[in-house]
Amino acid sequence: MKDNAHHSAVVKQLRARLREMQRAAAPAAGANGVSSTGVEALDGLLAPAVFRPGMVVEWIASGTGSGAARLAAAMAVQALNAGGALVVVDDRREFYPPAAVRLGLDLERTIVVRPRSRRETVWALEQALRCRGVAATLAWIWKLPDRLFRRLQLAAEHGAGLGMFMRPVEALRTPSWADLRWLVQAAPGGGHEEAIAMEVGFTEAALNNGKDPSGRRVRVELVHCREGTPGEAVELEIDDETGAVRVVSPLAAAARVFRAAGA
Amino acid sequence: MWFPHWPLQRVCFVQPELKGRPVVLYSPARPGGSARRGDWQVVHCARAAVEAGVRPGMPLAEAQSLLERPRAAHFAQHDPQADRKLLELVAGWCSRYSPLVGMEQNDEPSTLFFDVTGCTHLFWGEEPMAEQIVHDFERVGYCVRVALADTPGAAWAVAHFGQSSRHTPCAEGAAVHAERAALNTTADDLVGRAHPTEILGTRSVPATVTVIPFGGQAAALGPLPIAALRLPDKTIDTLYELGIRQVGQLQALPRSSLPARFGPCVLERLDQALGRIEELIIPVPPAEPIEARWSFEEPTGDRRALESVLRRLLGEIAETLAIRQAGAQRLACRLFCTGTEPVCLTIGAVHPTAAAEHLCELIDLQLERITLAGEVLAVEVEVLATGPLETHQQEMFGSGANREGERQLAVLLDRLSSRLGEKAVLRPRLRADPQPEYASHLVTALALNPKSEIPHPKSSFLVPDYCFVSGPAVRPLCLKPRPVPIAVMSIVPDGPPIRFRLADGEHTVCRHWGPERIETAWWREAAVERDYYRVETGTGQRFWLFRQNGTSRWFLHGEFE
Repeated sequence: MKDNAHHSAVVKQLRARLREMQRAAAPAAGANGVSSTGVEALDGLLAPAVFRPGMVVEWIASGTGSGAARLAAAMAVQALNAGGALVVVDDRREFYPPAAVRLGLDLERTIVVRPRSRRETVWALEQALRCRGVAATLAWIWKLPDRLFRRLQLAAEHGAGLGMFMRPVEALRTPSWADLRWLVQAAPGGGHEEAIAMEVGFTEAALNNGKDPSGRRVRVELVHCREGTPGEAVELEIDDETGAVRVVSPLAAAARVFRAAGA
Repeated sequence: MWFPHWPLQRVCFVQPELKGRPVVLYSPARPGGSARRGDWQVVHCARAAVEAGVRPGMPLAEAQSLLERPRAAHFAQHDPQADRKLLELVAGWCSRYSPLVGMEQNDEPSTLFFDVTGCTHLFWGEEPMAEQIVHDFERVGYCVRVALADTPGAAWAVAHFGQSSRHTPCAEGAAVHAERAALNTTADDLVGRAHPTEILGTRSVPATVTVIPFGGQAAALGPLPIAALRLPDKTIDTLYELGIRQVGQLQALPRSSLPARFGPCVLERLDQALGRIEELIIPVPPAEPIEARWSFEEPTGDRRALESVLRRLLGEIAETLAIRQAGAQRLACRLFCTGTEPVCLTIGAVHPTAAAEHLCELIDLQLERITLAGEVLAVEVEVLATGPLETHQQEMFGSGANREGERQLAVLLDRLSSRLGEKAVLRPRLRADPQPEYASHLVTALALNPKSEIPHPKSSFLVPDYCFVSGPAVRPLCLKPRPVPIAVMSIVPDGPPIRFRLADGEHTVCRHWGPERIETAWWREAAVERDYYRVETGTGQRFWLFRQNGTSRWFLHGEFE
């Protein structure tokens, strides 16, 4: 048992060292301008070699309102830094530009495409991914057969832009041609104790005057990665007010639980 | 709108690779002179040539000897007819600014007149309109100076000789121009020698905007040289000999004596410029429509034959466009079928294009989506809107890749719009409206060329006013097209939500932020009175809910995805 723990610690150390070496050997930025996810903690889970022209990233959300699109937008901002346009394929007609501006996206360089059918969605996606003037393509896709996915991935390779697909949790059961696959799960944030209080009949949460810190917690797991170590996860806190994203300290979380328990 | 050194601009527009190079235009020294080499003289020269010592009026042979690398230089015969023809085309494109566009009435026009009465509000005012015109022409590669005044004469004078109120370098250049123009006597001098520092090139005449306020033409014209009145060269010579160099000096003379001393044109031009007598703008006749038609001997349903004919017709169209140095921005293709109404396919392009292949591809994208009810009898292609072709010099360094990316993006937008419909390819724009549904709107990408978009003068402030209270408000990235009614439980009638039910089940509110009260739109059909809450559920998901004030009805409006 002790040997196993020792081995896993060594493997972890070696992985970290390998990542550092790869990071040092990698160019400063990818050829398509994407060299970061826009979140330092997520970059830490990846080898720099992951970032390459024409990469496809899947953001799998555990449910609605889980924060996956927020992280995808951060990556799109990085992709736009090197020029080019952002194409949002929005067949749901829900993309809201004022929120995008707040996240740092440039509306002057944003194109919103609203297809009417799934067939049109895939066609528009392929065209956008294939275009060299498009730095990033963002789309919400529920069902994506293996062949179509491969076709889109090849289109992305041709266009050398960044493809980002927002997928439901059911997509985890399907094969993927993405370079990166993130699973984003909403996690109860700092207000967890109020929820517990409500469950037992207290109304503090209901009478909250809105001065609660606005940070939200999400657990981001690297499900698949061409270069790197899938399975690793990180818990992030995203502040909706300031836009800051930081890693949640496990110690801090533990302290809150103690307080909620009256310790 | 004045195009300084229009002949040079035309040559550089037709051959973009000449920009920055020493371009010299020559013509016979005497009208109708012989074609012997010694009889040519320089009439226009670019900045690079001026720096080498070339001047208008100089014999061509001398100019050639002055240029150290004659191979890098470009010598061409001055072609006033071609200059006029292109200016007429430009006048046609300018109908987007005014329904009445006229051209200067002389042998070598370089100025266009617009009657902008009732048009300026479409561009957010006079100055934004003038800036928009300058911006549009700069983007295409032209250098222009624009002046707005009550009379065409005053606008002409200020565009040519006025000092800019906004661009300091131009003000300096214009002063040099005005001074030298006053010192020189012939019209050729005004064009060629008046401002040698402003010849077309990398630091060419800066495009400027001058707006003369209502009734201010007398004050604006006073300090300008007499050449600003568009007088004949002989009259200018006479006035110069008498020491009358500025319009103000001319205004001070007794009106009754002017016709007798200098001829009737002096008083006429002065009165036209000051608005005492009317000066008509003679409109440039619109260009002939560009269209092509093919009739089949027998009705056909063969797609390949149809596509072949389309290619042929579009090839003809492209040739006509190339002759006019224009590109198609909207094009209609009508298919006359047996027994049915004609099928009309309309395509648009972000940037004007004269590429037959691209136009053909856009039509094919639409054609493959439709089923023709009958066999085709005839095909007709018509260009509905044209625009100036954008030409760019190839760059060894710099933004060549970005430009290629922009070009490819324009092609993508054309393709998407053709296949999915123009209303499916959109550009988002913000609006200063506190109601979330109206805080942004989407404009069709084809209708709005981003580079020619008319910016609101306060576009940088196009965020809702309420945002200035404490920074931009938090909004969800996904907003429901229409608020979705939901069942919510709350403890007090006007209190925050505690539990709510969505399609995927019941959610318990763990944290909330709000209420953010939005009361607006009383001028619309239904006033909006809402209390918005950002809520976080027990599972960490975040939603944007609101309660309609005065009722207990709750709605889901967005998801913080």
